[in-house]
Amino acid sequence: MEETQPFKSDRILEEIRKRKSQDQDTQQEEEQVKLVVFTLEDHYYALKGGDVKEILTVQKISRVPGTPEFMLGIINVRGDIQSVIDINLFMGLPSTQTSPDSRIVIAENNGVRSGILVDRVQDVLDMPGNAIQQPISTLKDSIRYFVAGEFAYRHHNVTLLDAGKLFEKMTENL
Amino acid sequence: MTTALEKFTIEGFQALLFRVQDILFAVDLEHIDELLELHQLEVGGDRLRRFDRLLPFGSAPVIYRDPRILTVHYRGSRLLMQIDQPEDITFIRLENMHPLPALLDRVRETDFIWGVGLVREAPVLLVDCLKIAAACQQDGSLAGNAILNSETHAKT
Repeated sequence: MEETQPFKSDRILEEIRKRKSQDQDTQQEEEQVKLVVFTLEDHYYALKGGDVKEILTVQKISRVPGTPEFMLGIINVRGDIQSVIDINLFMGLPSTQTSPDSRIVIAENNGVRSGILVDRVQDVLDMPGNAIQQPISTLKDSIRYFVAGEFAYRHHNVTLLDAGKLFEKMTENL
Repeated sequence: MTTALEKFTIEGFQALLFRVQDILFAVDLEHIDELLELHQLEVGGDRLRRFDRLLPFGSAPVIYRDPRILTVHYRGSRLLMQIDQPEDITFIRLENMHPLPALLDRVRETDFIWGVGLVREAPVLLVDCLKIAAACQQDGSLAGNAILNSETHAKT
């Protein structure tokens, strides 16, 4: 009995599909997100690398009267004036204490730029996009708004913050 | 035709620098009539406005170490503002002035601080005395004239 040969066009289509599927797998593998991981107290947080403009050592922060407590003040960054905020205070937690490891992470999103005082910058890493999970449902609504996701890093649970939504929430609360 | 007014460009302003609670402020010297010591104020002390009450400094008490009084005339009234530790008079150039950072600008409670100057690389908060005087006039707390015993000799 003569074996039926698939049409050439079917073979070509099959090959095209196979290659596309391989391409997708490769793309998924390659979809990396750059993240800046830092700590506040014992908690691990991260910001997207694209939102982080620079990381500075802590300098004297000049307080500005008539602003909320979480607004720590302003600093001179090579002739530019930047604000500095304390996320912990904004979330109703004890204020961030400075130490030699403390850093000011300058973040920018939607045209708003501000420094964020952190205890320590732990790492700058590339993470596969699919490793970032949805934020846990037990988070308070006020915090959940500016949490973009969560991921595991060296046995720690890291909360990924959305800088744009964080800044938005800070102005909204007034 | 170009008028004299159109030719006028602001290069900066002569500023009085002072410090309250270790924060450096600057006011436009053009807006200041007098810089007095506390003892030169004889009557109307109730009309004296402490700087830290005009610009909320938070819950911690503000201690004045070397208090002085700035007098600012505004539309027929006079603002008597108690400041602390006058430090210097310096010209702040326009290129050394910056608007408030966007986030801070959105969360501030008053518009008395309108920008930031850099003096010897240190940030200095630029305060608009006339805006303060206008606000005080609106709430009726500006002093009338003739409340300073030393009005004549203070100017000399």
